[in-house]
Amino acid sequence: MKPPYALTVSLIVLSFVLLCMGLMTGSLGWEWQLDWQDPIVQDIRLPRSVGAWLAGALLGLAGALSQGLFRNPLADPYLLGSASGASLGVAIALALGLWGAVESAQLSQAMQWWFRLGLTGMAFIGAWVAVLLTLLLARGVEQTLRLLLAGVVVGVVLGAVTSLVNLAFPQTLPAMQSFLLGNTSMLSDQACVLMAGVLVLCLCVSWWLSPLLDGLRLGESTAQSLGLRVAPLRVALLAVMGLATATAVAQTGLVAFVGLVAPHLVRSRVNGRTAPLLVLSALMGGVLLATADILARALWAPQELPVGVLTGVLGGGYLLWRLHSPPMKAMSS
Amino acid sequence: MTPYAITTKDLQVKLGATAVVQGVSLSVPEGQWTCIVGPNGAGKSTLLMALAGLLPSTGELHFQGRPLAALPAKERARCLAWLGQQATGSDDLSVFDVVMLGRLPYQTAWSGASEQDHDCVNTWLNTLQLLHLKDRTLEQLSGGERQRVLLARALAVQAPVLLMDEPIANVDIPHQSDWLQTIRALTQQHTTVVSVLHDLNLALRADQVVLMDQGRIQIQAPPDSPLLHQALRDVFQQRMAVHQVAGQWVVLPL
Amino acid sequence: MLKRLFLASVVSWLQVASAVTVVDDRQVAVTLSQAPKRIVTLLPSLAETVCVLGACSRLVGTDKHANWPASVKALPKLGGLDDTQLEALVRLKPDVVLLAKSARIIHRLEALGIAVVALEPQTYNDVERVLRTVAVLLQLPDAQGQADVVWQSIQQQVNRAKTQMPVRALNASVYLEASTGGYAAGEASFIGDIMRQLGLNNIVPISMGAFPQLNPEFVVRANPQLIVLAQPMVRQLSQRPGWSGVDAIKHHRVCALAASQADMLVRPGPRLGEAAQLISDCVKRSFAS
Repeated sequence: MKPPYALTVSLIVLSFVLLCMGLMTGSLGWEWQLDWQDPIVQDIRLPRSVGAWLAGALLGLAGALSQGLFRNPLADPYLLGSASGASLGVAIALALGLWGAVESAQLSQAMQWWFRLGLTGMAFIGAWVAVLLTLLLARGVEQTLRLLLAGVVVGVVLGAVTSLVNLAFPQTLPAMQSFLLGNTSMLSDQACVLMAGVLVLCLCVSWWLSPLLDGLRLGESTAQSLGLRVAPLRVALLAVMGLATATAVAQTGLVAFVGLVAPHLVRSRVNGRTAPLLVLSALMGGVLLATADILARALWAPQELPVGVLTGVLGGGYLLWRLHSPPMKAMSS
Repeated sequence: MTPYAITTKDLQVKLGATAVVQGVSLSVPEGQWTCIVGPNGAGKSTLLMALAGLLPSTGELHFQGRPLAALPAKERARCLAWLGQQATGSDDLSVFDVVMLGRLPYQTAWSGASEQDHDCVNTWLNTLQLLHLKDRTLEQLSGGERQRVLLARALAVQAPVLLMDEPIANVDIPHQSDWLQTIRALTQQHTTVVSVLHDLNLALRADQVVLMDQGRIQIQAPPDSPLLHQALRDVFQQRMAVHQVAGQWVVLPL
Repeated sequence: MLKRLFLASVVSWLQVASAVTVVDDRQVAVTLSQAPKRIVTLLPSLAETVCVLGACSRLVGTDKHANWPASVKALPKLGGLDDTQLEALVRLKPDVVLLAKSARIIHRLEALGIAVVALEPQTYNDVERVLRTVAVLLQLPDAQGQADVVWQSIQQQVNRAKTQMPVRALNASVYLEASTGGYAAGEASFIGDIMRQLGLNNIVPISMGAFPQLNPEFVVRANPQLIVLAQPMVRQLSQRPGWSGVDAIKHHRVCALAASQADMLVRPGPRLGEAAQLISDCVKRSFAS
C-alpha cells in the first residue's frame, strides 16, 4: 500500500489553517481582522493554539501506542491509571494551596517545595506514580491482561482517594472540575516549548521501537521469534506512552477521547507498518484538540466551554457517523 | 557424519511446577525434514517452542554447534523461523502485510521494506498461490487460506531452520500436496524443517520421525523403521495399523 | 370559678400569642407553637444569624463548617452541607432545624416530624430578609426592632468601610477570581454585591451570571485596575501568558485573601459588614503604593 502522503499533507495543512483560526478567535468570538502586533494575539492566542495542538498530538500518539501495545481498539492513554494519578496530584496541590501562604511560615521546607511545583508539576508526578504503581501491581509487563487489570484497580483506588480529598476540602471542587474536563486557557510559551520537545522525543523513540508493535500484531510468541525482545521493548514503549500522557495532562488537564479516537480516524488510510500510524495519530490528535479549543472559545464568548466536553462531542460524533455510513473499502488504493 | 542443525541433551521444560518436557536428547539433522508426532498432551508444541528459544529450558540446547542462548535475538530470528499452532494475526492486516512481517528480522525501524523484501514476499505468495488474495484482509479469508498466509509469513523469513507447529491443520488436499512439494524443495536447498503434525500419513513422508509421549521421546527413526511402527502402535494403544500403499506408509485407525 | 376561667383564657391567649408562622425560601409556611429553645443549623451563615440576634445559647448543634463566634465551635457538629448525621441530629431533639433550601435532608427530617425552615441567603438583600425571618422565628420581644438594630449596625460597618476606601479606588475596575481554572465572581454573586456597595466596578457584568468560567483574554482586554484572589494563586499571576501587561499587575494592585478570610466572602450572612471592611482594608493596602 502506498505511504499515506495525501493524508499527512492534508493534516499538516489543516493544522496550519486551525492555527490561523485560533489566532482570530478570542473573547469577542470570531474576528476577521488580525493585528499581529497585539500582545493578546502574541501572548495569549498563539501559545494557546499551538499548545492545544501539541497536547492533542501527544495524546494522539499515546493513544496509538496504547492501542498497539494492548492490541485493543478501545485502549486509551489513561489505561494505566495515569488519569487518576494526575487528578490526585492536582487535588492534593489544591488542598495544600488552601492553607494559604500566610500560614506558610509554619510549613516545613518540604511543603514549600510542593508550592513551587505547582499544579502542573503535581499532575505530572501523580501520573507517573500511578503508572509505576500499576507496573508494580502487575509485577512487570509480561501479561497484558494483568497489566490492564492493575491499571483499572489503580485508577479506581486513586480516584476514590481523590474524591476523599475533594470532600475534605470542598472549596477545591470548581478547580478540580476544571482540571477533570480539560482546560487550555492558560497555556504559555514555556508549556509549548516543553510539549514540543517531549513530542519530538516521543515520536522519534516510538518510531525507532515501532517494530515491536508490528510484530505484536502476530502475537507475542511470533513477535519474539522474529527477534523482538518483547519485555524490554514493551517497558520502553510504555514509558514513552506514560511520558506523553503525563506531559499533556499536566498542561491541559484530562482531555477525554482524543487518545482513543485519533488513531481510529486515521487507521483506515494506514496499513502495514505501525510507524506511520503513530505519526498520523499525533497529527490527527493535534487537529482534534486544536479544533475543540477554538470552539471552546468561540461558541459562548467570552465564557469558555470545557475543552474535554467538545472533544467528546467531536470525536464521538465522527465515530457515530462512521458506524452508520456504508462500510468503506479500506484497500481502495 | 550428518551435521546437526539442532541438538539437545537432557532438555527439560517446566510450565509452572510441572515438567512438560523432560530428558529430551534430540538431534535434528541438517537439510532434512524431521517430523514430531505423538498423542495429545505429549508436549510436542512445548518442545518446539523450546527449540525455537521461546520458552526457558534447562539442559543443553545447541544450534549449529553453538548454545542457542548465546545467539543475539536478531541473529536467532534470521536462523530460526517459528510458526505457532494457534498462529493469529490482527484481522485488519492485509495478506501482503502479514507476509511482509516475516521480513522483520532484516529490517530496522528506519529502513522499512527493501526491494529484496518485496521480491521475497511476492515469490512466496506466488508459490503458495496467494497472489490473487494479496490485498484482502485476514478476516475476509477462509480458515485454510489464513493458514497458508501465516505459513508464507514463516517462509518469508528465509531461515535455514524452519520450525512449524501444525502448519496445515485446516488446509485442503491439493494445498497439502503443495505444502509437501514446498517442504521437499526446501530440504533440497538444504533448509532444515522440523514440523509437528497430528496427521500421521503426512508425518510418515518425512525423513525422520520423532515420537513423543508424556514429555519424553520414545523413538527417533526414519519412517520405514519397523521399530518406529511398533512404537507407534504401542503409544496409540494398538488402535491403528501401519500399511504400505503405493510406496507410501499409511496409517489407518482400527 | 371565674378565676379559673380567667387563668384559662390568659393561658390560651399566651399560647395563641406564642405560635408563629414564617414562610421560608421554599414558599412553605412553617408554624411553631412555641418559641424554639433548641435550634440546629446546617448552614454556617444561619448559625451566625442566630448568634448575632443574641440567641446563641439556644443553638444545640451546627454543621461542621460553622466557626463564628468562638462559642459555636464547641457545639456538636453534624457533618457537612450534604452529609448530615441524621441520628446525631435527632438525638439532639431540636425544636427547629434551619438549613439551606438545597439540602437533601429536608424530606427526611419532615418525615420524622421535625420542623424545618429552609433559608438560603445568596445576595446582599437576602441577608436582610433572612435576618428578619429568623428574628420572627426566634420570637424575640420586638423581633423587627431587634432585626433593625442588627441590620443598621451592618449597614454602618459597610458605610464605614466605604468611607475608608481610597479616593483613587472609587469606580476602579476589579476582577475577582473565585477559584483556579478561570472562575470569576461576577456582579451577580454575593461578593460582587459587596464590591458594588463599596463603589468598585466588576468587569464581569450581571448578565454573565454569578461564577462564569472566563476566557483569560477577556480579563486582559478588560484591563482591571485591581485583582482580588486567594493567596496561593498570587505567585503565578504574573506568569499567566499575556497578563503581565494588565494594569493591576503592573502596579501591583493585587489583593490576596487568606483562606480564613475567604470564608467570610462566600457566606452571605451577618458578617458582611466585616467582609466589606476586609475588602476595604485590602484595597487600601493595594492602592497605597
